[in-house]
Amino acid sequence: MAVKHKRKPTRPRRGKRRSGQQGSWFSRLRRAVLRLLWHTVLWSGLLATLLLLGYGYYLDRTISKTFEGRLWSVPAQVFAQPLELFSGLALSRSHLITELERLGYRQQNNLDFPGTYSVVGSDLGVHLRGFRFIEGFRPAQKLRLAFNQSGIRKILTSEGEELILTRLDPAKIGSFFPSHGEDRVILTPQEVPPLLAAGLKAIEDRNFDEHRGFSVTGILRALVVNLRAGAARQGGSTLTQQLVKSYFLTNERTIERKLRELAMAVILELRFSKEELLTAYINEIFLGQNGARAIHGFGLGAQFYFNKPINELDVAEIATLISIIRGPSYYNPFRHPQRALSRRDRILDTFYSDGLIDANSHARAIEKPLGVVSAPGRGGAYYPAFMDLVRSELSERYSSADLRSQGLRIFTTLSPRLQENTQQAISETLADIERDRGLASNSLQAASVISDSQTGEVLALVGGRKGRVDGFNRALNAQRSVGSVIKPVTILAALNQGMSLTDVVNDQAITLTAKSGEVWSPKNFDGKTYGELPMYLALSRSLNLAMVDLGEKLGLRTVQAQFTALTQRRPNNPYPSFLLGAEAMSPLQTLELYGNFASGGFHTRPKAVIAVLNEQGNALSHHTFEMQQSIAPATADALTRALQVVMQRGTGRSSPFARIGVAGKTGTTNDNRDSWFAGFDNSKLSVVWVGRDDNQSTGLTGSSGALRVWNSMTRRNGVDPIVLIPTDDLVEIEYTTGKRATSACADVVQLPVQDLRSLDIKSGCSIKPSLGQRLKSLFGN
Amino acid sequence: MKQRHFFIVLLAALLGACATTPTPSPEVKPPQVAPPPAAPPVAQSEAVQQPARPKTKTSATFALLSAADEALATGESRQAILLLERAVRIEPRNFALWIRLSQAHLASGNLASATQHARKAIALADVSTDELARANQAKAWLQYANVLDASGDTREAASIRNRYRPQRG
Repeated sequence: MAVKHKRKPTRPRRGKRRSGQQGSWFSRLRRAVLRLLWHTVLWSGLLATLLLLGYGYYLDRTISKTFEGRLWSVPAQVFAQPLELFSGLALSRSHLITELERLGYRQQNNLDFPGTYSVVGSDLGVHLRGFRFIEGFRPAQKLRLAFNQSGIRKILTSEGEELILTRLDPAKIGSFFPSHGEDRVILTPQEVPPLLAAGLKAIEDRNFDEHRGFSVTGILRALVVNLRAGAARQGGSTLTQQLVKSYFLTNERTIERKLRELAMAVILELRFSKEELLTAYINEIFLGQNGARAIHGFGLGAQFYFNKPINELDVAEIATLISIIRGPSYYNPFRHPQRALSRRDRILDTFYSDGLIDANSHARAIEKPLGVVSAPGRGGAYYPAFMDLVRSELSERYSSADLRSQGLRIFTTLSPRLQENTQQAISETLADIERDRGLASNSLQAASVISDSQTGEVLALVGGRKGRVDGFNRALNAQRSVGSVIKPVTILAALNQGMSLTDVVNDQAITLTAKSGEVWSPKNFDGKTYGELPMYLALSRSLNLAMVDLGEKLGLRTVQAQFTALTQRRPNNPYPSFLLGAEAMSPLQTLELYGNFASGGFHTRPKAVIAVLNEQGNALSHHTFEMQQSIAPATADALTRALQVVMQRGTGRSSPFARIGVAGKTGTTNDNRDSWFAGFDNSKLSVVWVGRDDNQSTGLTGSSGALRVWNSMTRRNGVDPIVLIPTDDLVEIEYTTGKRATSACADVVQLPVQDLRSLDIKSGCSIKPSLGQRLKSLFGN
Repeated sequence: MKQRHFFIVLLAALLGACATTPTPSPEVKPPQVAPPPAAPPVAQSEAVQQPARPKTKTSATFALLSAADEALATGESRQAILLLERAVRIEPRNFALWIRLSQAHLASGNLASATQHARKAIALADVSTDELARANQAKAWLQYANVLDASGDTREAASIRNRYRPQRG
């Protein structure tokens, strides 16, 4: 298409005409100056308009994009494992109350609302919240639980029917945008309590429903107040301006910023409805700081300050949250309760005078204490270290397109009870160790992972001594030498080659020379050598030389292949020092290795996500139990027995739980840089690492560091003792010599032995030797 | 196939026979098909009981097992797997749950999991040499044989059946 350019009459022509009329040089000069001025004004006007338009466009794009991005994306919600309740469950009433309070249930006698409980004689009444589980929706229900000494005796519905099984609603442990990892509890307009919406307008912006983004009267009023006070006392910002300010958090106080804010507020008002703006405000506004975590929005605020969902807040609690907006640190209800209380009461007065609440509600609310949860850390379940595992699993196993969909519900394996217990045990025990050993305080660090031994599901994950703090996650990312914790791999390789736990290995000085000419002369921990001794004893005492001897006999390749079969990854270290654990692994990888032993011979990848459901409740994906048999059951049994001996008699014997049915192995690396313990009972597997972030020596061994932390964890989490059914090949053996004996004549352990004839008999133990043994004693070997 | 169904029904019947009386639950429904009043003579030697299994958990996991059976019967194997995994979280060493999980995976066509879960059941049942344990092992091995059949390894399956088929008469 051709474009015709119209010729416009040009100014020079006009100028020519004029110059013909007036010819003096002065008027020519004047005209030239005027012309120049005219051009300058015209062009700069044009330029300014263009710039302004461009800036306006830029502002519009920026604010609208930010706004829509936040408003329309509903973040994923992440849930812990729910607590199953059934008659016969070993859970006392006081423990159940603890669990209910952890979920924000509060004591209330008439159980009118979901999220309440009451103590009735020796029973407990609970009004369970409704919840959409993976399998479907479970409506809210009132229950009565009867207890006896061993735990829950009976569960009855309000109709008096007995329930076999029910469960608490799971703790919500996070809410984030899987794409950018931000933590929010986003409310829809329908979820916003009416009093909150009305109250916010009454307190923060009376003309919200009328104004177009800014309020001249508001600004003038603020100006008058501030001039009178001689300082900035009141802000004239509308809710919309506050929202803009919150999007682009900056403390800069300039006219330019104020104007930009104003322009953006006007743009937002032109583009979006009042309801959308108010909802965005409620989801966005800054309400406090918890360590590195900023508390944004009333959904998260309700959880953080009151540990309950927003729809369960009462009048006084809504007023408290509104009071915080004006100055989250000045009115911090934890630090300045009196200040927060008096502002809350003023807000309640306004609620009343504006007719938002009646006289009765006002009187009741005023009487109430602040009611924030006892310590800032307690509010809401927040486990950033475990969430790291959830995030990494999501990114590994789910497509990014799936994760972009809205309102996902992510069900995880976390047990809040074990998580809290483990975190506490680590924080307290590290402080104890530092005090006892005169170490600088806060010099030690630790990490721990606990899983269900049969399914590989991760029940707790602690990434450092301070919980609830985002930071370096040692459980996932600290790659440290594992030391003797690796030794069971060599023992297993030997068992798989047909050897018995009682077969003899040689603990003697050894020097190995690598192809490069490098010479390696390992030593035992105490610098001594112990000569010939049975294999289980070498493991129990964690003797390095014996283990290198065994590894060399089996062949390093065989042992490394065994490691690969157990972990599905190749070792990093191709040298014999691998046999002594010169292999860097994270606590989570160590858990994966020991999962083979704890499960009776199955490899499972530690798993944190059970299922991801979309907004409609359909599963995007359901990760069922996945396992691969890696050890024959009898061999796995034998290894478990050997690891039980480590606890009963060997390096684990200092543990008060050593003799009640646990199996495990300690690990210490060169110069005491790393202290490890990996151990399991009948149902749980735990790995603990203790060390320093700068990789300096701690002076701790596996048993004086990590095992001590494990003891403290176990004291809180309890032991489910290992039950191994006796098999025909079990033999009583003297612990220190490996000879056949009985408990009457020696300190014995029970271990499976394939060939009895290979064993010597301890003299004086009145065990009838076999024919072969009699011949052997007659003729020698 | 016939044989597999026979064992599924048999196992359901046996579990029904040895469990404590279930009471109705709005969340976990009791089985709709009542267990037969008396198990057939063959079944006596195979009574599914577990060593060292705390009795208290039995009715809770049984309720889930029954609900899973209902789901399986209507072809909802995914739902059945969810219910069975929930039961396993309560009672991880109950080999009967793993047998049923293997069956549910077999029904959903997931042979890898059906195989591994049958092996898991064998490992958990394979803990003793007394008569009861032998019967438990047989249950687990026979499920493994079913999976082998589905994988096309009929010879190995037949050999396992020969070894573990319940003695009649």
